[in-house]
Amino acid sequence: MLDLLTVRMAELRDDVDKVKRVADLAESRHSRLDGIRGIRKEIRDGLLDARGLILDYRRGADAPEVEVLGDLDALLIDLDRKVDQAGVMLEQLNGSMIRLMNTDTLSVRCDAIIAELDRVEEGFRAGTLDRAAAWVAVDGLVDTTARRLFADYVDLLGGLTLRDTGLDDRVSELTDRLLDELAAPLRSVPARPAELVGGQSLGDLVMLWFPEWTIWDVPLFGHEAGLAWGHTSQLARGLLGDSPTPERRGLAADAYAAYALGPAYACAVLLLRMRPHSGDDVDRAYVILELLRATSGDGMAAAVIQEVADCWRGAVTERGADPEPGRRAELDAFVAEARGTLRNIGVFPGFDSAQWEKEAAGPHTALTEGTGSEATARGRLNAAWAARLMLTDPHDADAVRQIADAARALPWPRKTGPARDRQSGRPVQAPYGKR
Amino acid sequence: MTGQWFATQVRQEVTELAQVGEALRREERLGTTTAAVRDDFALLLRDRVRDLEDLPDGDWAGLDLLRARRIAPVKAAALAVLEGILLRGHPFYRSVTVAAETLLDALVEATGIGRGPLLSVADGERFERMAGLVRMRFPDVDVWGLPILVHELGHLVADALPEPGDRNARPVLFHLDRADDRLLGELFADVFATWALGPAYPFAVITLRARPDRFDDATRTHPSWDRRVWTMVAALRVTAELATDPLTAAGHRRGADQVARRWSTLNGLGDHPPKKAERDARGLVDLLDRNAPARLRFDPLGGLDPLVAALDAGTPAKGSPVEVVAAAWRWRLAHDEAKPAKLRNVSAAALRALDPADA
Repeated sequence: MLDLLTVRMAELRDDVDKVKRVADLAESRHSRLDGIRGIRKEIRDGLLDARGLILDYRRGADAPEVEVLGDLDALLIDLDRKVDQAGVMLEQLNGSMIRLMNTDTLSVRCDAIIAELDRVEEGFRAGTLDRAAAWVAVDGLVDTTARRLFADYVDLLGGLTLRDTGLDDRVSELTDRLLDELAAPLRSVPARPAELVGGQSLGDLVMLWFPEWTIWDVPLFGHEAGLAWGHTSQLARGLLGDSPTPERRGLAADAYAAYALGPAYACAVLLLRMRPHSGDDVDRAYVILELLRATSGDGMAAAVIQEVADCWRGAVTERGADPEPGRRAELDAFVAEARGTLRNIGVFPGFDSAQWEKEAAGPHTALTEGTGSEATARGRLNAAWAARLMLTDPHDADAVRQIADAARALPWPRKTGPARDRQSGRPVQAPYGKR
Repeated sequence: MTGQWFATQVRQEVTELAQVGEALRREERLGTTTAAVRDDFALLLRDRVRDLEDLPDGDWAGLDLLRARRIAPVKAAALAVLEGILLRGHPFYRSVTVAAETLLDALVEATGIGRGPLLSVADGERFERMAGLVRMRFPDVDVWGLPILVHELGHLVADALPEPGDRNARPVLFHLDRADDRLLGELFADVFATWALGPAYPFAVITLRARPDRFDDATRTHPSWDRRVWTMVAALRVTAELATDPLTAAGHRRGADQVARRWSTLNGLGDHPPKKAERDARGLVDLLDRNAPARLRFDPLGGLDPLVAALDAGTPAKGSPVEVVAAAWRWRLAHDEAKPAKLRNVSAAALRALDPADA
């Protein structure tokens, strides 16, 4: 007779295997792309051969009917140009495709479930586990661990699809550049809001809420990179202490993100995320703003921080909370210690006033013409936020969208190319939106 | 005999006025003084000659009055100009005079009033209306006092700033002509200097001139320091309200917050401008906003950090005259405890940056 418990265990094993296979398949997308690249190369070689043949024919004969080969050559040149265009699109697709840096981390949770299933099956077969206990164990796996795994992976696949198809408007490319600049061992995918997804980590993947998957939110990755830094860096250990609380880890990640990304981080996290009625967020905002005030010098960067701080303070007061943190002295000491620690990071320079001068002081020019061969994702994000705050009406949705479009559309300089002159200066009127 | 004697003395006065004119005309080191200023002086002298020629024969009392009230001030002004020119050639004084000329000329050009002030020295900074003379403070030879000269330039601007579209209108003079507040002219000069230099001006006033023991004392000619500084703070806030974009507004607000914090820390009397200061500032800033060219307004978004770093290092510093002075003061605020030698070095670097010959 059919045993329902055995059927359920087999079904669960099959489902988890499927998740593993899909994860592997997701990673194989790149090899398929490589296949298309190979075909493209063969087409180009063929076109070159054909043009070579035409050339030989035309050299060897001058009959009028051979002249028609000239038209054919022009056709082949046009085809070659189109193949070239296809190549550019292919590279764009490749740029937006996430490369899962460590597929093992994606399989770990599958393996854990399989191992637990093995233990139940063995115990059941050996008689050390009775049927009632085996049912409880299988129900537990199905209802909690496996269900969360499946939900997470559906999210992951949805996010991958959004990235791969370019439906994310090249935001992924920007986030990947940002995480590379910070040398953070992370990759990002769009996901449902945090409260809807499972609490389990997806290894080196950072989930950013969708549909808020815009360039304005990209600086939020700085916090995730900061958390990763807190777990892996020897420097961070000095700042965090022996057994840091989650709250201290969070503050250290905020300080890291503010140091690494400059005013753009304050813009994203205070204007888009933090809750003005939350005491914890008031503390976080204080740390972020104080760290930035100490590193951003004067001029436009300081004005951005002032604008964000004033906006935040107004909202906190409006919500009936106190904009001044209750433990200011403690936070001041933390900021001073964090500054001392972060200055020692050697992998990348902080986004300070000198960096701002290079990349964001002329935000409109930076977004329309670029800032030369040393352009960074952090520079582009800061320029975009500065341009947004410089709008006559910063609530003008069309103009805000145009700035985002400009920031995404601007091509990245080739890393080995010749340096271009730095563009700076402010046009009299911004080239975005209503005026 | 008496008539001849009287005519001789009148002729003597006329000759002396001609000599004054000739002395100014021959002086080739009038610096960057414009031809318009020389012409103004020539007209002033011609006017006094006409006064002398109009005197009835033997009117000794009229001659005395004319000498004392009308001629002596012109001679004093001419002497002051020549003193200023001589000091300009003095190795000790040249740098600061050239720097002052560079700064004031740049601001005069930005206002579009078409004529700059004459520079001379005295025991304290002041503006002398008759010849459009700005007196620098002897023996100041560093960059720190230059913002105070911009205040003095403000008096000239008040007299000369026309209304857009009407060259003969003088909207500032009209606004300041108030029987109930004779000191409003001083506040306009403060607001003008704040409008043009940003927070560097109030910081210079607080640091160099404000008297801790007389925060609240007004004099016959000047409002109290408290009223003056809070009007400057309020002016920065009103400038923020009038800014065309939120970021520029935030930059001005930041400057206002910094000045307010420093002032209230010093005197402990309050931390925000009184209502009267807000009203005065609103009226005066509105005057500048409507009548002065936009290029005159200080840009709080221009990053001064590279300039500040260059001044600190004593390396060549490049920037507009306003930026150099603003950067020097920004450096000074960040180095409250700087030793006199360091202050002199930074000042020297700033003066070099303001010297067209060095640039």
